Amino acid sequence: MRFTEINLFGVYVAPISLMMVAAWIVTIALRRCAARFGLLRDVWHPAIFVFSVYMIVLSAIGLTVAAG
Amino acid sequence: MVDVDVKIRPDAEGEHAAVARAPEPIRPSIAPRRRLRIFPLLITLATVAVGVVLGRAMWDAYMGAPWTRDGTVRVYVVTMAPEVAGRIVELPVKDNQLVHKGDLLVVIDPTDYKIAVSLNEAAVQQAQANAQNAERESKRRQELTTLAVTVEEKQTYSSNAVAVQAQYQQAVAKLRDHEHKAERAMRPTVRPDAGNPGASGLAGVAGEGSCRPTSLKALLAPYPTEGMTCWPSAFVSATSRTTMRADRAGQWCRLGVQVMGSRG
Repeated sequence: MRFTEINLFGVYVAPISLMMVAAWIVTIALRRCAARFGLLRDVWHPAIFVFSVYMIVLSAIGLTVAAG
Repeated sequence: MVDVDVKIRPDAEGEHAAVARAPEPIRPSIAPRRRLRIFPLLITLATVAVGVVLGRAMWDAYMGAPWTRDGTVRVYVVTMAPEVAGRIVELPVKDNQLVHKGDLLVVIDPTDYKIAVSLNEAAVQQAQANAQNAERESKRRQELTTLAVTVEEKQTYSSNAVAVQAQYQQAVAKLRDHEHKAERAMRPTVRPDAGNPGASGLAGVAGEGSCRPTSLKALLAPYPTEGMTCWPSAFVSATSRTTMRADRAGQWCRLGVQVMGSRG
């Protein structure tokens, strides 16, 4: 349970916002990898799939922070 | 367009037929395409399910975690007083321990209460003997004729028997009271309503709103409002969900339960 406010150039922001940005960047990288190998063609709804992957990445980051 | 084509090259009819027949070999490939349609669906749904489960877990972890922006944390305080007073002889809870409904928090020295119980047991026996004696005296006089005993004397003994019987009942009730107190001394536990500030039987409540946690955390630290010196760890522990405070310096049983929890 170590969620602390993050000082971003003098502005305290909620930890979830940075986690969301980090998860977004990770998801973009994953999506590019998947697109290169054509994996996104093998899913039913690429948009829902990518959003779910984003949620999984975000939850993984959040739970890791919570555990640490 | 087709007509024009036909008109221009009517002899090409055979070729058109060949083109129309050409898609036939594609048909066998429809079966693997259908199989592929189920797997993408399953993959997508499984990913969504995992995302929902993990997202919910993170929501609980994130929203349940205490946080602060200005260095203060609002704490829901429920002061819980034991039903009887006395010295603490046993403290089964450790600092910041999670305690559940019905858990034993402290054991108050039962010696005084046990002595009171035996005193009252003796008093009950005495009252019982008195009541039996008065009953026999009254019965004996009721059987005599008015030549031996006056009516007034009969009535006096009769009412006396009733009065002594009432004294016996009083002694029994008193014994029950002391037995109950002795039992309470041995069992000051987390009560089911400990988390509900509006419930009766709570000495005092600080904080706003209502919370109803299913478990509390025990914090053994001097209680600042009880005239004790303030212990910084009390504030550190305030970040934990729930705390219970017992006056450790005096060892007198003034027990408080500090509740800080998620609303619900």
